[in-house]
Amino acid sequence: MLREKRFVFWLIALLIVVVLNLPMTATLAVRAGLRDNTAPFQNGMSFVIRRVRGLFSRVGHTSEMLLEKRKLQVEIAELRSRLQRLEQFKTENETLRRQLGFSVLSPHRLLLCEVVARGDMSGWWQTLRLSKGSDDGVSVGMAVVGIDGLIGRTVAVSKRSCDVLLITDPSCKVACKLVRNDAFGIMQGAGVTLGGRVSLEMLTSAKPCEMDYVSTEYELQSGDVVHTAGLGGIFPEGLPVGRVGVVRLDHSGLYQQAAVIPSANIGSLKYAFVVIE
Amino acid sequence: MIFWMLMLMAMLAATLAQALLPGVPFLGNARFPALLGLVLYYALNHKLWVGIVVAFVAGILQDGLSMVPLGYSAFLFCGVAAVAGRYRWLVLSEAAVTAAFFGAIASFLVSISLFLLLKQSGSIVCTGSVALHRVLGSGVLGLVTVPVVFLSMSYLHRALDLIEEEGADVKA
Repeated sequence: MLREKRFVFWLIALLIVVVLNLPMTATLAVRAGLRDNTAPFQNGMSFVIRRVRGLFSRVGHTSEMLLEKRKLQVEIAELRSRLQRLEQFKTENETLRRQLGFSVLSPHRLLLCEVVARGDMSGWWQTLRLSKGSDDGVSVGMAVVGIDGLIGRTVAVSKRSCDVLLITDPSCKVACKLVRNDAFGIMQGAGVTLGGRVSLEMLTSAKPCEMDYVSTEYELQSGDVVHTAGLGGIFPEGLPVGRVGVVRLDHSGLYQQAAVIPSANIGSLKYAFVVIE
Repeated sequence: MIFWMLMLMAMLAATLAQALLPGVPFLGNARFPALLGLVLYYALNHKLWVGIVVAFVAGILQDGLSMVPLGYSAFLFCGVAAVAGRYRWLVLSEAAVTAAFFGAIASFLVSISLFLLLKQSGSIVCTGSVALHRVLGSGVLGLVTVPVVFLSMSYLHRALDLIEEEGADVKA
């Protein structure tokens, strides 16, 4: 019995040493295997959680729902007529664009992914897990965007899922510029706030990012639009990032610092696009 | 056989719970340490080697599904299981107070050790105050989560009539 115990202890000790010294390819293979095998469960649990929440909110607000139903019926009628007009405009617009030779497609090839998990399991990074992986053409170091703007970059990819490091994480840096005057700077995440409510559907609220090393030659204004600068090889140029908030001089007095409020609603994302090209 | 299958199912459930439950903002966004709770349960209520095997697998799961370098959590969890198993004869292993006490201490120690390892390897960018907040938060969440894991696992072991096996383990 004692021999059996000793054997197990030494075996585990040996395994830990082996795991800690695994070559990068083997480490990636282990990670990829684990992620691929747990992704369907995470996806299923997320689905169940969404459904259960929906069910509870419906039961709890029956009377309000009846009033809202009437309002919505009126709204639906109005929206239908507006939609018909918009369909006409869209057809007309597309015809005109085709005639002028403009492409209606985005300049980038985007891959639509579903968010299957939020937040790193260890709690030390701000990440998202998306439902597409290397089988769909995703690789490490690709930009990820939402409808409103930049979300982050892929940091780990398996066959059927990928992990995205959010721009609000302090270890994520993005080269950015202001649209108004091309002022260049490096934006870095500032982490999460320590207040706010907890919700299964949301990440904890993030602090505004910090844009550093902006030359004092440029005048920064609150509300200025920030786009990616295209430097560094990960984020293509011209992706919308956010808007400038508070502006101040950095402690050396040589550069300006600006708070950047991300335009993407990172806290409650359900879908995201990976920029493939 | 049922014992091992229950262990695997519990690990899967703990992994999903830890991955899906969000961090608590006012506790430094620390996550609920469900896997650590499972490690402590097996270390305190079963043979030492069973606890260490659970610790190793749980650590690999946590590392593989997060951005932590592979092996860090496995190493720390094995350390926790070894210490808890070594000193379990001193405590009432099934008492909720024991679970809460061990949970808080273990969660705090694992969290601070992980922070130091990650900081030393340059994997994270984090200020000392944020880290301290999160480490203390982990301790508080350990205090709350681990007794829940203990109660659930004890209930399942009783429901599946695995008590005799547990008793034999403790004696051994």
